[in-house]
Amino acid sequence: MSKHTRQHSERSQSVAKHARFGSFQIGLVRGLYVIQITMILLAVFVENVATGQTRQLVLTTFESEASGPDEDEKQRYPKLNEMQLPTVEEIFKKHPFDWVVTNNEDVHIVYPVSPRPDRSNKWEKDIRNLLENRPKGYPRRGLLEVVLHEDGILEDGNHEDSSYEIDKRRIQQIKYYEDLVLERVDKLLEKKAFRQAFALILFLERRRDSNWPGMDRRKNRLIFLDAMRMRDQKKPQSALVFFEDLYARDPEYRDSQDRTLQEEIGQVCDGLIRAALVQSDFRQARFFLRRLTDMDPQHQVAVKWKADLVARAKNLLTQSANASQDGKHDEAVSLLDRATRIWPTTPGLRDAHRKASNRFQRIKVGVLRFAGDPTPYFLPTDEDKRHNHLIQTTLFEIDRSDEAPHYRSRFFEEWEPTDLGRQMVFTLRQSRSYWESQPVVTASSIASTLAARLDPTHPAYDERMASYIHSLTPRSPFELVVNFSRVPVRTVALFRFPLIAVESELNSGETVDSNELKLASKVLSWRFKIHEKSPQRVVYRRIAPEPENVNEYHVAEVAKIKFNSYDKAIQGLNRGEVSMLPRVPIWTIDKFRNDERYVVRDYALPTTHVLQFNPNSEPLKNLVLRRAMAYALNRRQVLTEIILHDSESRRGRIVSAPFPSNSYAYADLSMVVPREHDLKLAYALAVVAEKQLKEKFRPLKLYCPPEPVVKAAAEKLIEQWKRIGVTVTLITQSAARPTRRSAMRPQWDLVYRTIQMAEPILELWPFLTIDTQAHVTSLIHLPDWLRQELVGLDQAGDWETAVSLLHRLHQQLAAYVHSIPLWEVDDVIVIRKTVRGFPKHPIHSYQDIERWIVQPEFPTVLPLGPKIRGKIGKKL
Amino acid sequence: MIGVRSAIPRKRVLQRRFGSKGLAVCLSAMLLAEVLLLNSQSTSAGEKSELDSKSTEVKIQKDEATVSTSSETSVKKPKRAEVPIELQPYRVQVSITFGSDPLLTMGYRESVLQKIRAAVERILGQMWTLKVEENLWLSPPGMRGLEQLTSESETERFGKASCDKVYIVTVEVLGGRYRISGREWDRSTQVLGRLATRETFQRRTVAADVFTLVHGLFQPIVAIDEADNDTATIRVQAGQFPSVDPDAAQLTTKQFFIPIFRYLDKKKVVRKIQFLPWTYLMVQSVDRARATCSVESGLRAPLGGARRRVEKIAIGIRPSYGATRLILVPRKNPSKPLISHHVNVVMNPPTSSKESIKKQLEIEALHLLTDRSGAVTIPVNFEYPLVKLYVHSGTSLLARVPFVSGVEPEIYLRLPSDSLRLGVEGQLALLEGELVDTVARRATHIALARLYARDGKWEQVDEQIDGFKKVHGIKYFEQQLKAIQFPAVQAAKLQKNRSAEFRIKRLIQRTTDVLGRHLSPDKIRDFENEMDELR
Repeated sequence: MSKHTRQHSERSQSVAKHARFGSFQIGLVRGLYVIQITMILLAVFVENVATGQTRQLVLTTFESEASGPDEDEKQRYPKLNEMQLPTVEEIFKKHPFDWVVTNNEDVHIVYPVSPRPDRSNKWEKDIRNLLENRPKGYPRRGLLEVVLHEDGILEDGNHEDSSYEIDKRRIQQIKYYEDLVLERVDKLLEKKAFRQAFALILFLERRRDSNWPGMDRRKNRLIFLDAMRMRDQKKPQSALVFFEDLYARDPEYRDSQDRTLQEEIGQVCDGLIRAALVQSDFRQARFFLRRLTDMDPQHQVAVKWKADLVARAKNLLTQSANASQDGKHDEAVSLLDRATRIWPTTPGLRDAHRKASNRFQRIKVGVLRFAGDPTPYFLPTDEDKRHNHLIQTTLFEIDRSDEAPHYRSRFFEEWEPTDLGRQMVFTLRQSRSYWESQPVVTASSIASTLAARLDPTHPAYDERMASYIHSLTPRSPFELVVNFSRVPVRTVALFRFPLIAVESELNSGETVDSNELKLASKVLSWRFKIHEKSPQRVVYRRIAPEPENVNEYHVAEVAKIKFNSYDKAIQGLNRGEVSMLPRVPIWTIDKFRNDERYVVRDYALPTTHVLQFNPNSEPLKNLVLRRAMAYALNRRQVLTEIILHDSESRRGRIVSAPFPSNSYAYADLSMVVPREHDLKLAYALAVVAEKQLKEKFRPLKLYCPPEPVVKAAAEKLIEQWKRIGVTVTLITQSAARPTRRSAMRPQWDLVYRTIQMAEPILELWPFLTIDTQAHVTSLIHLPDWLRQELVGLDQAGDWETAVSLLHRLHQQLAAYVHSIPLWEVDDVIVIRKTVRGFPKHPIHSYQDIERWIVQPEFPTVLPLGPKIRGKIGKKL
Repeated sequence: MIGVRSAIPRKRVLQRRFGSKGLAVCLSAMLLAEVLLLNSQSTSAGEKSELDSKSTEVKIQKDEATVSTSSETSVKKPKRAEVPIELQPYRVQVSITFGSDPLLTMGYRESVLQKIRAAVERILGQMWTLKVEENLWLSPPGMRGLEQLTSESETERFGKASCDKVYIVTVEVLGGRYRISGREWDRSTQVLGRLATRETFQRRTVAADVFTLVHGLFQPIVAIDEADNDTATIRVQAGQFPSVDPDAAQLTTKQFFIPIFRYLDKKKVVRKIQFLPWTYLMVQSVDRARATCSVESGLRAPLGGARRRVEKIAIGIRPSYGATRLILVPRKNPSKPLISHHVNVVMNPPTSSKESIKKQLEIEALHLLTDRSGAVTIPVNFEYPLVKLYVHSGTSLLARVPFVSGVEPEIYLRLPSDSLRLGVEGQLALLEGELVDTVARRATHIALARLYARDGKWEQVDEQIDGFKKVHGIKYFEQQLKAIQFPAVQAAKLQKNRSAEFRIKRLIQRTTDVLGRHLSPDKIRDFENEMDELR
């Protein structure tokens, strides 16, 4: 081959390549490429002419006015009827191609020709302009330049001559690549190969050929057939999603078998609504109904079910009216609540619901567990404490707390210390407000309770109180005098206990636990009681209902609803299933604060997290090991990463005592500095402890409250202890729940506690001894000097002495590592704005609940998800 | 008014047990107990001598000392004084009051008196010289009347009578049953004993029950002949007249006696009677009228040597209550009980070696903690009634006394104040915690420095040396010790509590020794030298 020929061949190949790639270019640059290609072709042509070595094929093609290949060549092209549609594999693997079918039904398999069908015809216009202003010698109009596809090159053909022009008059049709693919899609749909069909459609869409004629039709067919498949597979909800999608695309869709979309949607929705109603899940029924009406409000299925639901709701409305007339307000509200769940927009329902809900107010509270639910944790859980706060009221209760708590009483009108505090005269209230639910008591009841607490043989015996009170005298039914043998520092704080009935003696031989239970059953000062209990719901009601015909009613019922996790509880709050969450993870608080629907209230006392050691645990009797474990903890890390999710720790602090850092008992930093994390020191101490114990540390058992965040924190602490060679196992399941009295037995080594200590003068002793009261015998495990400090605190006669002793105890407990105070957290309660009368800084979750007012909250019409709403909105 | 907390005053308790005269005796005994406790704790010779002198010079206050020296209540030298005690039968008077029930007819009463006489003669023989009479002076004539009697009233009543023991007995009819109650008055101790009661449903056995009750109340009197710190020889009154019934013998092995000192004046008139507290004689062997006893006491020389005009006698005791409430009170302020103090009760027979005693305390002892009234309840150990009480305060032993529980319902133990020493112990515990940290920190720095030095990382070695130097040294801890010691010692001096002062100094010295061992400057120098050499 001569040099020129070789050059020409190279140029031709280059041109072919350019032509091939040029057809793939996209966007605005596509036109420019076309111009460039044209220019290159022109340049080559001019060069060839100049050199007199014009290629025969090209000249023939140009000069014979696209007569095409000669007769011999005709034999070599496949006929249209011989052609096979490209397979899925070919489509994905090979370069795109078009079929150019000539009048004699020859098929030229070529790289996609240009221009392509385009609605805007922009390309064609560009080409037209270019050709009209073509330079001299440029091919005339009516020729289609093609580049043979690799599949189109014949066996005996010249590979170098793959680019040529065809006279348009000889072209019968061009089968574009997209059409070929869509034809394959049709074939696949017929075979119900939806996945492959969908893949091909997606393939075309990614080629930016989404507007290709016939594409929508295939898509719709695919969606319809897929929906039908879902329906046949008993997945009506999935089918409905597909139908909704199809409805948004083409509401009038009708398939080849004359099945209409309207009918199919109706059929699916009908099944879904019926199934929901069988399960009495009206909310879900309304949800499907709403989805149907959003598509077609007049759909006969929608009309039918709507009428049915309205009828049911109206029936309940009537029943509610009857119940209300009979004074059964709770029943009336229940019926109306049910009606609102069935069809909230029932005429007259909103008014009736408002009236009934005002008369019998209910509040729903989201909790993660109920009081008394089985757990290996042997101390009262937070929910146990909340349960007690809800059901009982004490003679004196904390009203508010700053540095020290301030008390009030529902039972006493006034209490006056006389004889320099050695005597206290209690004057009882002779009546109660209509909204209060505690019983009216007389001096003799209180005297009986006090006498029981002073009787060493009674299970309610209060050793501390017995040491304070010398005698008590009921002067009249509403006046009681208590004489003290020594003056208590916080007199009223001694009276933070519920009233109990003391008519019968306990049988000898009963265990302490059963006595405690018996004692609990004898409480007189109830305010709420459990009305109904199920695995998912506990309902509490007032002991004394509010009378008729008063201006304003208050909470009559508290329903606790159990959720599996905080996420679900928060979801429940957002959905309106509950109105209050007594505790939420700290990191979610900001979301609630920014939400106008909720009020977020800080508790008056922060929650302190503390680790306590079992005094009977042999390894933990070793002070060096306890110090090692304290130094090993990176408390700041756990606080910021696990508890708060906030590197700035805005709602939590590292502490060195089990009482709040703003308490009068908390010594300032000049006396006690929280122990810093020091892994090296911890390791060294652990080594020393191991030598002292003369054996390897056995795995220690840690019990922690059944609370997800606390559990996560405990797991992190265990991880940190592992670094110094101390293995700690978190006990999450236990066959036998150790009783509180058996807390001192060596079944456990560490316990994680969350406490709110309002009155350290009185509460520190029971806390340290893990007891309910300040029993002297519980101190037996403490060193003598610490015992005498606690006794000294108990015997303190004035406030200054008591506070100074507490500061010293704070210092001593921290140094002695009796426990490991971890951190304190500013917990909050989240409540809907519909609840009024809630304290600004509650001491506990149900403080003053008798005075809360719950405004009726009528269920809103179910909102649709953003997908459906968006599509429908867009369509409309 | 509902009396809810009435701590039984000490005086009332003693009165109940011994009457007012007995009260005086008890009070003196308590004073002696203090001495005893002091004695048990003291280790220095000076203390010992002081306490010894105290124990012999205990005086009864005049207002309380109702052991009268007046002629009315004095015991004149009996004519038969020359007769040895073992040849002196008990002159016993049984004074019976019958209730006013018609069932208790004159004839019946007479028959009861007669039957008692017969029973005494049949069972005790010549051991008792019995006088049985119907009591017409007791009012009200029943158990309540007995309860109201006091030691003083009975000493006054029977002081002049020629009898050694008087049993005042009542017989009442309660529905279908007969209640027999009685108390013993003893001339030697001039104490009216506890009230005992029996009941029977059989009319014919009343006399037998009266005898059983009287015999149950009877406590033998012995004279202590020879005594040292461990053993004593005793002679029992009427010992040469053994009972007809051998089961009614006065002396049996493992029987307990409480020693009593009877101080006489020149005319051999009883001037003072002193019970020796926390001291017991336990009969080991009996030889007719004589017996050998072991002496269990918290005192160093409880029975002392022979003294002129001091009679050393002992009276038998027997647990009659289920338990005794032991109340710990501070010596200087008895109204403030000692709360939350450890009391270890060793119930088993004492062992000899120190090691065994320690083991007993750890394993076998009953560990009790005083309640808010400073009391612990010590149950009666029927197998071995004599128990040992160890009262601890921190690391210090406050008292170690023998005790037979169940003899009295309540007993006080006065102890010296240990609060100052305990406070120091607490402060030292905290300081020791800091010391542990410091030693561990230094050890860490040394270990790391050696590690880096081995790898030739001298910059890191210097960092560790700097860190080592920043850790508190011995001077810091010595200053802290001084800050703890000075105020505590001053306070002890102010309280004139030499024992506390001594113990505080001993505690501080012990901690100073620990400091020297762990934070010695030599160790620092050695470490620096080692690093220099490695460099």
